[in-house]
Amino acid sequence: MLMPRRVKYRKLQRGRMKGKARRGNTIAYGEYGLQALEPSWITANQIEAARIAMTRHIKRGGKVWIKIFPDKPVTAKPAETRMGSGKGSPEYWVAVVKPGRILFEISGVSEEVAKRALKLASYKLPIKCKIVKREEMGGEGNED
Amino acid sequence: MERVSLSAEIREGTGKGYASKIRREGKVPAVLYGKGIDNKNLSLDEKEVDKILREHGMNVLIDLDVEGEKSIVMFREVQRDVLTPKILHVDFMKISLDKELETTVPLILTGTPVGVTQGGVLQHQLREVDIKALPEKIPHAVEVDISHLKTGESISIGDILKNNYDFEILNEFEEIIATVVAPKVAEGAGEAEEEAEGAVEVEEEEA
Repeated sequence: MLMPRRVKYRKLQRGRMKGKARRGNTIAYGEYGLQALEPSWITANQIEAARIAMTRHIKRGGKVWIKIFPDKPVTAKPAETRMGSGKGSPEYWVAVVKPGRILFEISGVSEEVAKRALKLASYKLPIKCKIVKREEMGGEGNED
Repeated sequence: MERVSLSAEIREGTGKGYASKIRREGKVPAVLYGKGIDNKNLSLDEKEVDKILREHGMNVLIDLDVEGEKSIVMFREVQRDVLTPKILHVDFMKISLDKELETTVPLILTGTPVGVTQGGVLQHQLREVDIKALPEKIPHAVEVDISHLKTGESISIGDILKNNYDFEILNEFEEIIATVVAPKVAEGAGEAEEEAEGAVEVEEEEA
């Protein structure tokens, strides 16, 4: 499961997920990508489930990039505990995803296989996603 | 290089409120700048701009008619909405036809490498090249033939410089354009089952 090796602070505040993804919103490596259409926390488990679904479908050849990393700890209090006495202990890790973020990328397989693999991955995620192709993304810029 | 014409109107208002208003009317806010001229705020017809971008791409010479005043310009930046293909803003730069300029053009691979037919995986690393050329010599795209690549071989900028292009490529000689690699066994998949299957390479990227 993906998680940071070492963090500066063990517990974080929840934060907000306003607006659209300003970075990581273009296909950088592969030919096809899975783009988030809603804001959400994606847990390390969900990322792993999606990765397994994709790699199983692709079978041989091809390359998968995971473009998100669960670097935010989420805490929880034990069941049947009275309120108070401080913040709970870190339970799992999430990646904060905003609409427009490219979650996974694939290359080296046919269009049909890539789209099916990304579709299978999207079933493992808690948000609506869309499959995007490199050429359709636009993203023109003559400047560096 | 192709040449197209486009008409624009001077835009009086600025700011996000005004920009959203004209976008609702099917227009796109734009700006024109360049050497020796004052910046001009413009508004364009979205459909016209979209058509030019779809048919010709970014590297196209545009005869821009701003309420009767004509100038030769090129796209400098096109901002699009993250989720929809809607164009949000366009930057135009005035150019002079006798002066070289630096720009990026797409790099297209042609042919199927020998290595891929033998089961290798093609990794396309460099998708755009920086070039320096006179505006009329800027190509639509740079095509690179990769049909001779075997598994384990790669093609770099240095290899394509042998072709005599009428523009200068600014990228480093050693920069790799594409490689054909043997399908790797996934490492650290964590599950025996995954390892058994494991032919898919997975790369993680820190957010």
